Amino acid sequence: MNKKNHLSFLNIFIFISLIYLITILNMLTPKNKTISEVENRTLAQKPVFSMDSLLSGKYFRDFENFFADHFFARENLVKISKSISSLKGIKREEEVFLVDFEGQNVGGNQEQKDSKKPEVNNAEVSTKGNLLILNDTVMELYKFNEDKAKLYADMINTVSGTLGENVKVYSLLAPIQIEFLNNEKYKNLSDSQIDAIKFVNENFSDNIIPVDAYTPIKEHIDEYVYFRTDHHWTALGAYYGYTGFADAAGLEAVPLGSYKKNIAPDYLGYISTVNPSVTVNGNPDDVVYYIPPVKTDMNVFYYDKDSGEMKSYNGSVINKKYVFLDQKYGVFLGGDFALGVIKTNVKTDRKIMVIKDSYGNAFVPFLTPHYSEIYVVDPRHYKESIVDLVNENDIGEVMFLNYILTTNFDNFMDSVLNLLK
Amino acid sequence: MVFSSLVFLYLFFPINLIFYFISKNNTYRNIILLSFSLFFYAWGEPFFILALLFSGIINYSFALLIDKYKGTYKSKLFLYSAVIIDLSMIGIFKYYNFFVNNINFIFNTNIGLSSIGLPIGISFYTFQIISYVIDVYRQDVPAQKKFYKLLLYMSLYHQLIAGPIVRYIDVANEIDNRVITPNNFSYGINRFIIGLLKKVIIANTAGQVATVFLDSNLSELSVLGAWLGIIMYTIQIYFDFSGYSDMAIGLGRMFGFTYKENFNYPYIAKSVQDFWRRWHISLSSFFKDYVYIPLGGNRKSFIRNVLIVWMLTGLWHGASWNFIIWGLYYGIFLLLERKLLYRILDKIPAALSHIYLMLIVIIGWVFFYYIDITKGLKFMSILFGYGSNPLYDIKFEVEFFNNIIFLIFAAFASTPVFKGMYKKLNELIVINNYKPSKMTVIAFNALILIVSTILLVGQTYNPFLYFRF
Repeated sequence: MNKKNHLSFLNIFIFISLIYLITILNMLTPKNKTISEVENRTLAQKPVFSMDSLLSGKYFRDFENFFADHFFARENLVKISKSISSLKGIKREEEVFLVDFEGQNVGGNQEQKDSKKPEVNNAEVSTKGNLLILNDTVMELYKFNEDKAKLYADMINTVSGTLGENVKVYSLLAPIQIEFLNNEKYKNLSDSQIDAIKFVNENFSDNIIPVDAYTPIKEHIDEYVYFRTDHHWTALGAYYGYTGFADAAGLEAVPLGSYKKNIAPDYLGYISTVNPSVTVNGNPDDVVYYIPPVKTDMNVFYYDKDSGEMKSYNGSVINKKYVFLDQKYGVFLGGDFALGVIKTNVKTDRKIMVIKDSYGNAFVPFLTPHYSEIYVVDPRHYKESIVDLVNENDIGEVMFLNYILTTNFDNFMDSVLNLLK
Repeated sequence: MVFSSLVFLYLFFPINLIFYFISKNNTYRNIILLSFSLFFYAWGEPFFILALLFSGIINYSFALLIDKYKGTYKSKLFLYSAVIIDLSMIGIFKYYNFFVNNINFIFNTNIGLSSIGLPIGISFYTFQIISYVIDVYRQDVPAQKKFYKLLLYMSLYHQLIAGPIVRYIDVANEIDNRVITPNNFSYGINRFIIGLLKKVIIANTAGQVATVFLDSNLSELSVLGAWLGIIMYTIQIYFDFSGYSDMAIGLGRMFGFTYKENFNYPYIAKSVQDFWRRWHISLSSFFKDYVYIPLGGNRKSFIRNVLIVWMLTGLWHGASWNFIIWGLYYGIFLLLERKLLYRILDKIPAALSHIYLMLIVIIGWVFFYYIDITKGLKFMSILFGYGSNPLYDIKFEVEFFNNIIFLIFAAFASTPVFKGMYKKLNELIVINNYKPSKMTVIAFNALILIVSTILLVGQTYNPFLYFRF
């Protein structure tokens, strides 16, 4: 055997060994994992064989997805692949990524969620968005859309008009953190939110009371008011929003010191999964939550997936179960659901309805010292008449609490208007 | 199935190797290879395998008849029939909707569209089988008497889906007699790994960046962003396609087949003519041998022939007008070079003629990328700074710096620089008649296989955002 042959044999030996080693390791990998928590999706399952699926090619396609989703050491290899990818460029002072993503605007709740997708709802809408990842912080970007912002204001005007003058209507639009970024260069990727909030407020009829959450958040922007890995405000941010509400509603804000403070550490929020940079993943958030100083009792109403009937269970304003789950923002109210009815032991006649996206979840616990009853409505899920709800329960105040991007989702506006029938 | 997939590398391929190498009997090996090839095809297209089989039966029978009546008019008749049937097949599957859409548009009619879909690889295997019947007619090669052997040629999974367009005449011998030596197998591994590197590490990465710009809202795209996007696409398409050819050639070697080269560093060309001698060689030589020369070549109706060939070349790439424009665009440049530019190109410095060629190629990919021609023209106007798009934006800056090392690497990898460096090392470092750099190839192969596998697994990372707003 000459030298050349020698090397060829070695080359063949190493290549073939690697191929078969990985093949065998892969065969030995258990295939029973059903969910990838990191990716927030179900893994492909082994397809069921049928003649139809074979002939249409679906069987093989599904098998290929199944094979890839259950590959040997998949989650670790994914992490390594991200480190390899970071070799593509040069490190500058700031680590920056711009990511376009598609997602779905749904409310979610672990209690009703089976392992598959959250329930389909008419407000569920495929959404395109843009993220800026700056060092350890993931931020959504905002684009002002005049028509849709106008639509948002009109929607609230219509609700107020239908409910009549006896019902006070507040509107709180929560800004997102890109607005307060120090770095002008990246801040300019996003449109001005204060202008957008002003625009919406100017389009309100006289009956609507705008709530200024912007100013108190801006004053406290150096505190931990936004998550770095999630698109929500923190409970502290929500608290400053609440002080703005107290001013608008003529209430005296309860000091934060009256609340018992707790921490759920190691939280990687939803938007951190889009492009899991090493820097972001290495710096998880803490979810700080505050337990209200009053007694509360909450009933959660949801629609059964199969029968569509409305059912209920006992929830809680601070749901500690989520402290140990991945999606720790669920600690506030226990996630999103059609309707939550909170009763407190506060001696007052004041009752309020909050029509909200998930920014409302961190906020609502701070309302408990001021109201005897709080009705939390998520228009993406709720299907009944809010007019009846207001009239039957003698609710005197209604607050719209959404984050600024919701003014761009016309499906949200449609869902609210559907609740007026 | 594609070669650069986990299911190919770690299921199909290792099983295929075992079955193939447990016996040395050539008939056995042919049958195994045929079975795996048909399964490979059926993986994506279980239904369309009928089209492939039909085409095989027709051309097998007609080739026998062509051979039987050789030298008579009947032979020609059978050849024409076979080619017409082949072209009708591809016409129905690939071009029917394009044709009907145009008829409907021009005559304002309402002819229904077909929803059958396109059998994968039909453009490749149809051309292969056409070359076969023509070569039999020309008596360049005897007709294959055994159906399964012809079907093996047609369906060989190495080149079935994305080329190269292998001619029967080049593999006829190897179907019956194959010798697999360690050196050949080892060379096959080297080529396969190079292909994997090109496809998984370079093309896929470039593709991700390209879409960020090419698929973005064109009214917000910056001029430099447009350039970065189209340059990334230029990288993607070359490494994707030539990587696939490398893998095909490599697999062929491992199983005892020698396929001709399909790419030869096209981006170092210095003229359009030079480029097309280096790009997708099996396709351009097909058109040259079976269309251009029979039409009269450059002796008779030269301009007409060039335009026909290049219109067809464009159309071959896809059933829509942008591909026809892309083909004719090259046809016109070839004519210009032949009639006018050659004098200039000969005299100017090599760097300038290289820039001239790359500009043509990059602009060409704009036509190729945008099936919607108005969108392509809009993109073109951004490239050249017409309109109000900014020169520069943060998106460009971010992507540029996040990919700059990759960009430089890919640019060098499109030239023979690395190959030259390797050769130099071989010459320079010789210890006791032993070349240690050969060992680096082996380590390199293992490394690239592992990295590619990791990246392929990384690509299955597919977060779905149930956004809870």
